[in-house]
Order: sequence, then C-alpha cells, then structure tokens
Amino acid sequence: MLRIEHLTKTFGAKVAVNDLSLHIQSGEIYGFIGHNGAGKTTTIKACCGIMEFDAGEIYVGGHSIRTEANVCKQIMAYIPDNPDLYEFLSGERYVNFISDLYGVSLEERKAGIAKYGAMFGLTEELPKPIATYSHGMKQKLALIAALVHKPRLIIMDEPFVGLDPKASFLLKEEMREHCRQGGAIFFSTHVLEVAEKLCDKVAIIKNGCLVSSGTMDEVKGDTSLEDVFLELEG
Amino acid sequence: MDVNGFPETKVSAGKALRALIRIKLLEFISSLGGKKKSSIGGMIGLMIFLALVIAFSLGSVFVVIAIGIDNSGITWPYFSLLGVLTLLLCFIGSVFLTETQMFQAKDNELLLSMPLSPHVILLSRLLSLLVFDYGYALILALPAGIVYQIFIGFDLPALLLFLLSFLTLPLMSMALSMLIAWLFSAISARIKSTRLIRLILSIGACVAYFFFLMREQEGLNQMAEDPEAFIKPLVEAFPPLGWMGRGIVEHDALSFLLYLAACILPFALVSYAVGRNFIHIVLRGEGHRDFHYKSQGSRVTPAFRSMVQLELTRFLSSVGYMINAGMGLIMMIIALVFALLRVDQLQEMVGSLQNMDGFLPAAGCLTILGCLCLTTISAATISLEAKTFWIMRAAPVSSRELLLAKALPHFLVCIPFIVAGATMLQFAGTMSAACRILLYVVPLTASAYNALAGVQANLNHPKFDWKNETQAVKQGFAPLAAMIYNIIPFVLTILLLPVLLLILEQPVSIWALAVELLYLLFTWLAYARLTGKTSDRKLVALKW
Repeated sequence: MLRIEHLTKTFGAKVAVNDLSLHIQSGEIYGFIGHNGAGKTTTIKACCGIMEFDAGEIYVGGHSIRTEANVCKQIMAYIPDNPDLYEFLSGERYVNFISDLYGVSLEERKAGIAKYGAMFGLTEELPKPIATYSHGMKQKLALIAALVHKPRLIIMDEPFVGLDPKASFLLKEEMREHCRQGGAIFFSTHVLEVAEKLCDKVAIIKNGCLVSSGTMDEVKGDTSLEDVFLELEG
Repeated sequence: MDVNGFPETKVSAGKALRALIRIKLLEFISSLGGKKKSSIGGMIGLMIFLALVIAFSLGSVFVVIAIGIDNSGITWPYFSLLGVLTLLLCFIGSVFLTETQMFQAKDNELLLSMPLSPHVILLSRLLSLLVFDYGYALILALPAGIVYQIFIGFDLPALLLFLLSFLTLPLMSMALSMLIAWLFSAISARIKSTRLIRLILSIGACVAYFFFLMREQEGLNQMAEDPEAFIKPLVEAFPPLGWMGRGIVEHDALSFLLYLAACILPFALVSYAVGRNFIHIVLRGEGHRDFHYKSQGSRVTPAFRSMVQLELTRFLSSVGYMINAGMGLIMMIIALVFALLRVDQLQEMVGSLQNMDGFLPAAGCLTILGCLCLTTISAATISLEAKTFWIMRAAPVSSRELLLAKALPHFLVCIPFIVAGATMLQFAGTMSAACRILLYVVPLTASAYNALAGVQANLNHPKFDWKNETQAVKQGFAPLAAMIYNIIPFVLTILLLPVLLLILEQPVSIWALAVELLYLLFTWLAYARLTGKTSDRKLVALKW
C-alpha cells in the first residue's frame, strides 16, 4: 500500500531523512517512532505529497507520489499532529468541504458524519464554528473528515495527542477495524505502550536514519519496546 | 525559599511592566520584517518616508489655513481644527487595534495565569497602543507646528501649551477607543457575529473620510475666509476643542485646564474601569459563549465550486480582509456617486473642450479601472492559508484548480460593483450602443486579469508568518506586487486615450475596444502563467 524507497530529504546542510526505505502492506498498522526532530514528520509529509524530497521514491497503491500525486492522494488521508482547520467554517461544513474534494456521495457522507460524529461524541458540536472548538475537538473533527471519504491508507502524525481516553480507545478500535477491512495505517507516536499494543510492525528512526524495523517481535524480542528504543537512541 | 524549598520570588510591578513592553516591542519589530536586520531597517525607512510624505502634504494644507487665519487675526481655531483632525486620526487608527491588542490578545490568558496584576497587563497594552496614537498625532502636530511658527509664530507659553496638548490629546482618543472596544467585546459576547456592525462602521468611516477629502477644498476656502464661523459648530458640539485653541493662543489658563481635565479625567476613569473589569472582559471570550447553532445539513458540491465557496466564505467572514482588500470597490462606488451628483457640472466642463466627445464615459471607465487596480482580494488568498495549507495540499486537487479557485472569488466579488459602476456611467452622456456594452465588458475583463495577477503575486511573495489576518492582507509584499501588476495595463489604457481620441480622432468606442483587446491579452498571459508548470512548481515548493 505504501512503499518508501531510499527517501532522502535535506534542509540546507541538515539531512532530515537519510536513505529511508519502508514497506507498509494492506492490513498493517505500522508505527513510526523516534525522538523529537528524528525525521518522522518530514517522512510523513513526503508520503502525503505535501513536501518535496531530494532523492528516492514513494509509491501509494503502486502510484508514484511525485508523478501521480492526485491519484495517490485520492486513496489516502493525512491527519497532522496539530490540526489547524478553517476556523471560519462550522465543523459540519468542513467535513462537507473535504467530502466534496474527495467526491463522496451524499448518502456516504451523511452516513459517515452520523457514524463518526456519534463515535467521537461530536455530533452536537458539528454545527458550531471551528473557532469555538478545543484542541481535542479539532483533532476529532480532522479524524471524522479523514474517515468519511473511506481512504485505503491513513497516515497520521501523533494521532493520540489531545484526545481524551475514550476517543483514544475508539480511535484504536477504528484503526484495527480499518486494517481488518484491508486498509493500512502508518502513524508516528511517542507513546511506546500504544505502539507496542497496537502495531503489527514498527520502525525506529534516529537522526533521519532507520535504525530498526520489522514486526513487533522482530524489533523488541523478549524485552519491551521502551527498552529497545532507549537502547537504540543511546 | 519556603519550607519545601520552592523559591518565593516576587516580581515588582515595574519590572513586570518593563518585561511586557519589551515583548511587545520585539513582536512589533518582528512584524516589520522577520529576523533580517536589513529588511527591518528597510521597513522602518519606508515608514519614515511615508510619514514624511504625509506630513509634507498635510503641511501644504496647514499653510493655506495659516495664511487665512493670519489674515483674519483670529488664530485659536487653527489649534481647534488640529485637535479635531488629531482625535479623528488617532481614533480611526486605533479603535479596532485596541480591541484586538487589549481584549483579544492571544497571550492574555497566559499572562493572567501568572502572578501579575491585571492593571500591569492593561498598562503594558495601553502604553504600546499609545505609541501608535502619538505617531498619528505627530504626523499632524509636526507640520502644523512648523507652519504655525513660520506664518504666525509661537511665543514660549504658547509653544509649551502646544506641546502639552500634543501629549494629552491622544489620551482623549484612547479613552474613547477603550470604551468602544469594551462595548464591542460586550456585544460579541451576546450575539453570534459582530461582522455586520463592524463592516457598516468601517464602511461608514471610509465614506466619512472620502467625504471629508472631497469637501476639503470647499472647507479650506471657508476656513480661510472666516475661521471662527467655520470652527464654531465643531466647538459648540465639543467644547474641549475650543478650550484647547483658546488656551494655547490666548494663554487662557482656565480654558487650558478645562481642556486638560477633559483629556485626562475620561482617560483615567475609563482606564480604572477597564482595569477593574479586565479579567471579566478578557475571559468572556468566544470559547465561553454558548449559542445555539442549527445544522445546515449535507450537500454535494463539485470540488472546484466547493473551493470557490470556501474562498468566498473566508473573504466574507473577515471585516479586516473585506475592508483592506476591497477598498478599491468602496472607493469606486463613492467616486461614481459623487460624480453622478455633479454630472451637469462635469458635462459643462468637458463640453467646453474641443474634440472631447465621449471623454466623460471614458474618464468614468478609467475611474473604475483605477479603483479595480487597488482591489487585491486574490493577492492574500495563499498567505491566508498559512497553517491550514496542509488541507488543500493533502487533498487530490491539482495546482491549476487550486490557484484558479483562489482567483475566481475576486472576480465574483467585483461583478456587482462593476455592474453598478458601469450602470451609473450609462448616464454620463450620449454614446453608441457598442460603447455602452464595452463599459461593462472592459472592467469585467480587467477584473479577471487583476484576479489572476493577484494570485500570481501571492504565489511569488507569500507571507505565512502572520499573527492576524490583516497582516497577511495589508502588510505582505503580495498586495503591493498585485497593485503593480494591475497598474501596468492601466497605464497603457490611459496612454491610449489621448492617442485615439485626440491624435487619431477616433470615437470613444474604438478606445474602449482597444482597451478590451489589451486587457484580453493581459488576461490570457496571466492565465497561461498561473496555470503553467512554473506556478505548479512554485506551489509545490512553498513552505508554510
């Protein structure tokens, strides 16, 4: 579903991501962990086609993000770590706007808004302006908008930050359900316990370089993910 | 240290105030030109240059007044008039700024959570706002003072009282600004949107300002002939202005003390009242309101139309965006209404000139085109995306669609204004049917070009580091660049007028046709550029 091949991205003299290769298959929840400034967000943005990269290639569903960006974007959804949304719109209008961009039918969007609005406890708040939303509510709205168009690949940057415990639990359930139905999820996190319990595979990045990747058992063995991470981070 | 070893430091009010003012100053410097010293210096230089240009142009107005007043022998109205102008300029310049900087500042809640008195926070806001007001007051007081010294002359007490009046006048304006800002804050907490009230007030202020400019010559003549009679209604309506003028010129201590009291007492009372209620006013923010909002339901809209609607909503939801980027449209209607009211005089004036048949509709058309040059709605559309740009960039939308969706709303907003303006021009004299149609078509084509050129200007010069929308709409380089792009075909249009009408003796319809062809060419070039590969590459490379 998502294939990253020898991705390299530099900012001036600083190499943010160095020759990174990963393969996320359908049905997988793939965790991406690393210290602050390790290159997680840069990698994620490159995968979503919102940041150019210097070398390598990224394929989404077999299509190159460089040459067929819109085909790739049509089948995926991106949720950033800090969801800045259009504050002059209501939540409802925002979801409708995103649905318009992805060509979601009226029935599908109505069903999606009803399902995910109720799931995240945001139905009552949807007619209100986004300007009145808290950080967590914006995060939930971004999730609803992303899920309504039924993407095959979901890419998330720190999705659990700002969510209340119930919403976090429901999101994890939704992530599992999404993968059971053949979708794929690639997400970054600092919460190692979540990664350990939720992910099928995990990749650890340090200073832009991939230091370990594979199934959870391959990466952590008999120890905990936290121990492995701290050892690799040195 | 307390018993648990925690520090027990207490910051004095003075130190806290200094720190807050320093932060405000740093924020102001960073808003001038980022971190580069050269761009900050350039911006300060530009501001000083503009202030000097304004001061010199105002100086010429004060010269006319000073000569008239000197001839009449009654000089106190000079300072009363200066007082009116200073109060108006300070008030218009700072009323909305007071609301955003004082009650809606993003760091209010953070500062209120710290061991700082609300009075200290308020005082830091007040001092930074007063700096702006003193800047406005200086633009007027400096040329007025110099002109008065040259043509009439200060004695020492008059000079000291004049300087004292310069220091105290902004206090009166600030008291009024604080009251209005407080009122707006109270209204905002009770109704869903104050957008309409703000829009009406802003347009009202623009209309009043242009009306004042248009009446300027008439007013100057009256002021020069009989200054006392001219200033009398103003002084009767607002006595402190008379007290100020008489106090300075006639060394009337009682009058000047009354004037000082009128400046200082309201300022002190309003500051005290605002200080007492500061926490309540600040925390009565949007997040605390609980209005009932009705669901609008779901509706399927094609992606491109949805993006255009988004841009229109963005434009219509911000008064600052509407007023600053749409100023040309407001000016167009005011100028055309004014011209229509005096159409007989204008026709008489043009009729006395040879070979100028059709000049009036051509001049009207040029007025519309000129005002359209100042309309920069599309020139902020990319900058305004800022941190929300990820939404569009992550969506399956081509660069071409995205850029055109940002241009189209500019054109759509201009249509009703152009139709209204061109309809008014239909009364500007006899002309052919073709000419009548071209009076609609030419500005519409020009507007299409301006819309495309504005997005291109913003693509070339985006500004994503703004703190409030007005900075992106007004202070970035893109609006200026867009105006320059707009002015290029406009200048060619002006040059065509004497060539076709006077030298080649062609009717105005031929001129209009030539202008239409010119704008069609520019529109095609702008469209090709904006939808080309270079623009796509620029858009993809943007860092927001």
